[in-house]
Amino acid sequence: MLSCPVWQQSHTQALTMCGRARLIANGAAEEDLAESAQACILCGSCEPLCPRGMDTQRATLSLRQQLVKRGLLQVIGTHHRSRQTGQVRSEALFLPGQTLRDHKPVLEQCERLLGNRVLCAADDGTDICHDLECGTEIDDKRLEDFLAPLRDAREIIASDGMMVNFLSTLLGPKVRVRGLGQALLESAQVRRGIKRTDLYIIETRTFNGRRGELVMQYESLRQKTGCFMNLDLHRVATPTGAMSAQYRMNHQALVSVEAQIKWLLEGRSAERIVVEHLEDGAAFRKHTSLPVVHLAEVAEP
Amino acid sequence: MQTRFKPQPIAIQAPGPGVIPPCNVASDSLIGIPRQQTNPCRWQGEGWQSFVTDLVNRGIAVDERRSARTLYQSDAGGIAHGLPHGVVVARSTEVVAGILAAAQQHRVPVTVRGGGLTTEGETVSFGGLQLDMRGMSRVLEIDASKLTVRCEAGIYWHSLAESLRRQGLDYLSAPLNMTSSVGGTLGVGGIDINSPRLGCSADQALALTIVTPTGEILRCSENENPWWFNRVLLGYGQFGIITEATLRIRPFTPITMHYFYYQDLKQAMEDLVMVSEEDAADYMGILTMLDRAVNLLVAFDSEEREKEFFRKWRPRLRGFGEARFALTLGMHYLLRPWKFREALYLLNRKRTLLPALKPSHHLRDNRIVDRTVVFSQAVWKFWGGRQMVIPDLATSRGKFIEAVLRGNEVCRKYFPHYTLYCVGIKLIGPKERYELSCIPPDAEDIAYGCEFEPMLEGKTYSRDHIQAFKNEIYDIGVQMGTSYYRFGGMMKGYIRRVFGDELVDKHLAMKREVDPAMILNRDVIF
Ligand SMILES: Cc1cc2nc3c(=O)[nH]c(=O)nc-3n(C[C@H](O)[C@H](O)[C@H](O)COP(=O)(O)OP(=O)(O)OC[C@H]3O[C@@H](n4cnc5c(N)ncnc54)[C@H](O)[C@@H]3O)c2cc1C
Repeated sequence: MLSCPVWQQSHTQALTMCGRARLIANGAAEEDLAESAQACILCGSCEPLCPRGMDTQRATLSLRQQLVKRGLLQVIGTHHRSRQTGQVRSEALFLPGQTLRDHKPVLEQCERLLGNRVLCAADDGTDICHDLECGTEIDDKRLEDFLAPLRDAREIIASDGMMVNFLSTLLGPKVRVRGLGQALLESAQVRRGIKRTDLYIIETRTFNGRRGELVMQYESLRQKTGCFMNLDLHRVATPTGAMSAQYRMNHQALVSVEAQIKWLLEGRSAERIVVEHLEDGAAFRKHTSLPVVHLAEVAEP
Repeated sequence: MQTRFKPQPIAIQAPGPGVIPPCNVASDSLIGIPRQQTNPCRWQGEGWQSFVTDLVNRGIAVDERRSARTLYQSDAGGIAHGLPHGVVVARSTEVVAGILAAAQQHRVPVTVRGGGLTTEGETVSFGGLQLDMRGMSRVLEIDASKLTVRCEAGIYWHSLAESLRRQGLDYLSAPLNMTSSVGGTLGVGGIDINSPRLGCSADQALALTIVTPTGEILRCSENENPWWFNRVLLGYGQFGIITEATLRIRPFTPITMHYFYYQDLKQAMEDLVMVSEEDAADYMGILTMLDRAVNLLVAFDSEEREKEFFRKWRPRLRGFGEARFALTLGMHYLLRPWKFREALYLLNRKRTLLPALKPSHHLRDNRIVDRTVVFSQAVWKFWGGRQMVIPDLATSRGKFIEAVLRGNEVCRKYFPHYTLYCVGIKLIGPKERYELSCIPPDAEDIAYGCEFEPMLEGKTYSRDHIQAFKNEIYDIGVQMGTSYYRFGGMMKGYIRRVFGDELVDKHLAMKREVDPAMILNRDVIF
């Protein structure tokens, strides 16, 4: 609860994961959970701190699904199915997501840094992630079509944290699924480009879901570069809230992105914002006048 | 003299405030241990509706949904259970004032909760209104030059630390558990491993905004309304609700930490007393695995203090470093092969616990960054659970060692595995503040405390087993004339026995004067 943005902005326990878990344990009716399930932005910040080691993101997703099925929760919005133009099969696939595809120069830079070995997938499954997040049922056929080329891969890099977590669960340990941030940080060019006065915004869904595995990678980057990061004292990544379906769909949201950004900047004399995900970048552009760059763009030649 | 308790019929009507009725639960379950009913009867709700209407007219909404109320059905202790009639999440001092004024008028009990980390049901409502202070969680002003912070009282120490760190600052001392609130902690004391130097958290307070039980808003400090200041600090929420606090703070420093290991609990305690009284380290305490591996931990904010310690005090300590201790302990168990299970337990505990106290992502140049986070995470991971059983004793220096040794025997009797956590508390406030509090009346300069914490390890113990254990620890306090870190709620029956009628009646009279309808945290102490 300590790192939960819903808690930090509302101070209402019932709206947090911890509150939901207690309500369920106390036998609350499903309709009593709807407001709380809807408030969550699925940033995963409760997961590393959960005293019971729950997979909190999965618990909230399945609660949403249940509530939507029973008509107790309004679907946040629908996302049009990603357009497929054939299938790409490779040992290493990159799912950049629609936002990155819309920013061609950044996408090309990402591809350059990831190397020729990694091919861009034709289908990002953005609609699948959206449905998952909103609790809408995912069509089996659609899911199978999406997964088919991925099953042959040994390695998948995805920029959307929800996708990273989803694929890790579905594809099992044989396929190495990583976030774009972790993959780009393998490049010394990228690491060298991060400055002491940068505020580095980690993509929270991937990081918080795998904090145990990733925390040292980021902590040593922070120590080496001296940059600021959106890590709190628990080393949990604080979200901007811009990745959530509520924000993307202009749906009424409890977590104000503006307030999150204000908090992220408080007491930090950052001169530039470096983001792992473009949605976070857009939010910073909207609410601050600081220059914002994608991680791929900081790479020094 | 112990008397056998005779069963009494269950009282339907709640007795008047300040009166403890006889126990009606399992009277013969604790043979030889006299008990009193300390879990109060439910308040029956007379006047509730007019109270709610009054609040609505004042613009304060009460959440009466069952789901909202069940969130508060127990505290960290997990033994006391009760439901309020309704809940309000406090959002401003004025709202709190409105609630108390109306509660006084309609005679509705109000139970205040911060983090709810009490273990004896002090923050559990048995009817009436539950006031959740965590809605007031803002940091209002940080003064880096004067080293003070003003914040709302419902804020968690963790959130306060987050804000302070952005300015390179830190709070002085707080419970090793960051989901306790500032207000709740100032109300009970608050002990950290730097308390032997800096005193309890309550003594960090420079000024408070409080709401009195009749709904008056007051500013208080040592110079302004000092009576209220000293009654509300360490006052278990009896004399007012803290809504804002101005606290002393300090520059943030990473710390270096050292452990010394003992097989002899008494030796370790003597050494703890020595380092505490001679101000040898910046942080110090004892943490044990059973009474076999006793760990005296010391830590330092600066290299100078650390060097001085190793030059001046280390030679006087009788504890070993890790390698030598492992060797002696190994020898001990080699000669006692029938105790291999105990040896395995210690080995396993050491293997998992020690790395958690030094996680690599919190280490920089061998110094621990954010020790409060490291410790509180470890506390929850290794000692936390749905039910926290942590009876304690707070004693003067002269009684400390005997009290802990006796408590240790009780632990051994009831549980296979347990931990003792001992620390000193510097007394830096005026004497009257400590009256009827966790600070024992006979303590001078530094008081000492010990928490006795069984490892429940997922096993189910009966409520009576746990209660009998706690009572035996608390009985040591009665027999020796100590105090307790936490003495409210279900253990309020001990208060008269420990402090005597005269002192309790004096405070009860003060309470009745400022809280005529006895509505504020009514069943916690009196
Ligand atoms: C796992 C664990 C570890 C702990 N470790 C420590 C430790 O290291 N050191 C230590 O000192 N304690 C420790 N404790 C005890 C606990 O942390 C303290 O009792 C704590 O400071 C209480 O804070 P809280 O916010 O939870 O208060 P609560 O439990 O919510 O309230 C405590 C009392 O104060 C009253 N109160 C609450 N808020 C206010 C307010 N704003 N104004 C007036 N009265 C109020 C309540 O009615 C209640 O009587 C531990 C407890 C647990 C469960």
